[in-house]
Amino acid sequence: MHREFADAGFSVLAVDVRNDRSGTEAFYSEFGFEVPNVFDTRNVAVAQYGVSATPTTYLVDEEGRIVYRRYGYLPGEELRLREQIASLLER
Amino acid sequence: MGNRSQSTVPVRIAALLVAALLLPGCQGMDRLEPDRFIEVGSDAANDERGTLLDATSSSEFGSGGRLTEEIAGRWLRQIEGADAAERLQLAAQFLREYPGAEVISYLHELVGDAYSEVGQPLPAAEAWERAIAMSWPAPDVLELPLTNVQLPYQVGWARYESGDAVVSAEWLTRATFISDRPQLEQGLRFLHSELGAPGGSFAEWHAQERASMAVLAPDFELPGFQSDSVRFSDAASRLTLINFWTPT
Repeated sequence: MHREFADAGFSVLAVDVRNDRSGTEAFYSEFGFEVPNVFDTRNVAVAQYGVSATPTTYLVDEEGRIVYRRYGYLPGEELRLREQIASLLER
Repeated sequence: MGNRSQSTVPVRIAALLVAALLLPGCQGMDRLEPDRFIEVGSDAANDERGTLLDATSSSEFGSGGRLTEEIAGRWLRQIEGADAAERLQLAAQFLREYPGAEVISYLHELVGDAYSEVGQPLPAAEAWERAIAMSWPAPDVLELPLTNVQLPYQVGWARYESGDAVVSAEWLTRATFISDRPQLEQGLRFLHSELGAPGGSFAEWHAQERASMAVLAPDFELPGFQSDSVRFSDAASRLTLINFWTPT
C-alpha cells in the first residue's frame, strides 16, 4: 500500500512499541519493508493516542485530523483498509 | 495508561476479565475478535483475547461488598440469561449490593439492551453511553471504544428513537471514524433527510459534520529506525497511516 498510493500522497509511519531493534531489522529484512519506523519505548505516542494494544492504525488527513481508526487484525483486514485509503485519497 | 489513575487499572482489568469470559459472540456490526493482540508495555501472559496488564493482580474490586470475578461472573451470567424486565431488576440489585460493579462495561451494555427491548430508547442510550465510557481497553484519543465498535451505532439509533435526531446524527457520524459499514451511511442519509437536508447535499453535510467532530492527531517525535529521529508532523503527507505495531 505504501508504494501503491505513494504518488497520490499516501505515507506510512510505523510506531514500534518495543525497543527491539534486532527484531525490527529481522522483520524488515524478511518482508522487505521500507516504511519509516520509530521506536516508542517510553510510550510517548502510545499515551497521546490512548493505544492499549497492537496493531492499532490511524489514518490522518493533510490537516492533521484523524479520519479513521482500525484496531486489531482480522484476516482480510488489509483489503478493507486498502479500500478505505483509496476512498479517502479520491476525495 | 494515559491519564487514567493507577488505582482504577486493576479494577477495570478485572471488569474486562469478567466481560471477556461472558461476552457473547459477534452481535451485528463490527465487533472485532482480534486474534493476535498484545498489550502495550506489558510482558504479562497472553490469553486468546490479548495480554492483560496485571491481569492477575486484582481478585476483588468495588467500593461496596467484596466482589470477586467469580461473583461478578455469576451475576452477569444471571443477568444475561434473564428476560428484559427481570434483567433490569437484577442489574439494579447487583449495583445495590456491589456498587463497584458500576465499572463493568458489559453490565451497562446488558442494561441498555434490556431497555431497548422494553421500548425505552433514552435509558438504553444512556446505559450504552456508560458502557462506552467504561469500556476496556479504554476509549482512545477519539473517545470511542476500541473493541465494541457497534455501541456508538446503537446509541445513535436509540437517540433517534427517543426523539433527538441531531444527537443521533452526531453519534452515527462519530461511528464513521471507527467503522466503514454501509449501514452507517444509510442511516446518516436517512437522518440528513429527517433533519431537513441541512448543509446542502448529503456529502457536504456529512463532510462538515465529520470535520466538526474530528480529533487532531497528536504530534510526536521519536527515535527512528532508519534515522536519528522522526517527527510525525514532518513525515505526514496528504494521507498518513500511523501503525502502532510490534515485530513478532
